[in-house]
Amino acid sequence: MQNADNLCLKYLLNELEPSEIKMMERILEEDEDLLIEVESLRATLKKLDKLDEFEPPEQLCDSIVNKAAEYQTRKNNFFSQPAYNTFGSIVAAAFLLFIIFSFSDSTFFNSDDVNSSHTINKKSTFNAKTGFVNTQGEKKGTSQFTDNKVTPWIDNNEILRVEDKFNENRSSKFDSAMHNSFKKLVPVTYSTSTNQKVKASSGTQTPIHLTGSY
Amino acid sequence: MKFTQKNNMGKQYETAKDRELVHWYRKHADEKAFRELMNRHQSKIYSYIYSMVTNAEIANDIFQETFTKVITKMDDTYNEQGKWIAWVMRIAHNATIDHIRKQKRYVDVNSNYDDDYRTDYYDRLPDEDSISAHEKMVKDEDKQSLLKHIADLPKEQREVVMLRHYYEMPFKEIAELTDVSINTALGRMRYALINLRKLFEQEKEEKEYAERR
Repeated sequence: MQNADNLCLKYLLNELEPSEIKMMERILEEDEDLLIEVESLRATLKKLDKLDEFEPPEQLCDSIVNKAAEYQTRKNNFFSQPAYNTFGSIVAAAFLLFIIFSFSDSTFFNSDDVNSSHTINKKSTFNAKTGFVNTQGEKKGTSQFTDNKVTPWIDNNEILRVEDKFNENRSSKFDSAMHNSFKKLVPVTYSTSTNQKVKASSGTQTPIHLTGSY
Repeated sequence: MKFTQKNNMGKQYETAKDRELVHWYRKHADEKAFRELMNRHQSKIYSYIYSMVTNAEIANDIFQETFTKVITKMDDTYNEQGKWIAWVMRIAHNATIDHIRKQKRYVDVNSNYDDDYRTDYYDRLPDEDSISAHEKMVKDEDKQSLLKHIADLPKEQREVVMLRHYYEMPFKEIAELTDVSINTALGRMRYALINLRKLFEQEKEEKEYAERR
């Protein structure tokens, strides 16, 4: 029943589909009482057309418009202020620096060769004294971190290499530096209360004091 | 020779869509754009508020409250993809309903006629409050009685009738705005029309009775 009533109202308010309108008109032709009811409601609805629109006071509208303009002007000016822009720039720069430093931290001990035709083009040497990897052209005593890493690799003789395998000059320097370092390693001898030397023979583990810097 | 200056800017505002006017207002604090928006829709918004509260001063307050929220909340809650007037109507409707709930001005009966004192709702209102507002706002007697009958309707029925009349809102939107189902909204509209019909018939009988005497 409620659906039928709502259907009548939808017909009255022109909210039905064309097919539904035709169906409704057929029903109204058959049911006279329903037709009278619908037409009575239509007449009531039509009386509402006499209800005019009311206008708000002009002063009220003017004050609202002025307030709107003032509010939006203030808002727009705030966001275009130099101080605001400067602050925004500082924050953006700080964030950018943070990102750069975060990424640059992962490039420690990278080395490059200046003369290489490959992407690695800076020459780096291992300084036995300082233990740092320096690049040529840089101030002495500074360490250089580059983006290009030298990945350790094993050659055909199953020897671990850490130098750039494409650059013989650099690898030979590095090999000699490593060789010199190992030469300097001296086994430490311990003296007992009887002043006898402990031999570093097999079966006895003697702690080795590694040296690398003189 | 008289030169006439074409008001190209005025013509541009008049033909612009609501969306464009809102954009100009937001971007450039364009006062003329906002004024054009007001000119287009202020009557409908104010009429709805007034028909619900039937008091000019209260209607003015609610109207101002509505647009204060429109101005301050536009950047936060208004999406330029939707209709601006629908968004404003929602604010006006909520403000009106909030006021009615606070004031409890609405009397939930179809007829307020007091048999003992032979007075109705408007007779009992202080003269300076209601009658002066009516004299200002409604000149024609038919319009006065119509407004009175609408005021006599239950709040839920009155808001559906006014939303449909002033905003020509589809029932799907009315249902969403009033937070009920479409069938409920349609039912309220139907009962509103039935009640209005009764009130008109009652008024007609009283007039005929008065004329016979």
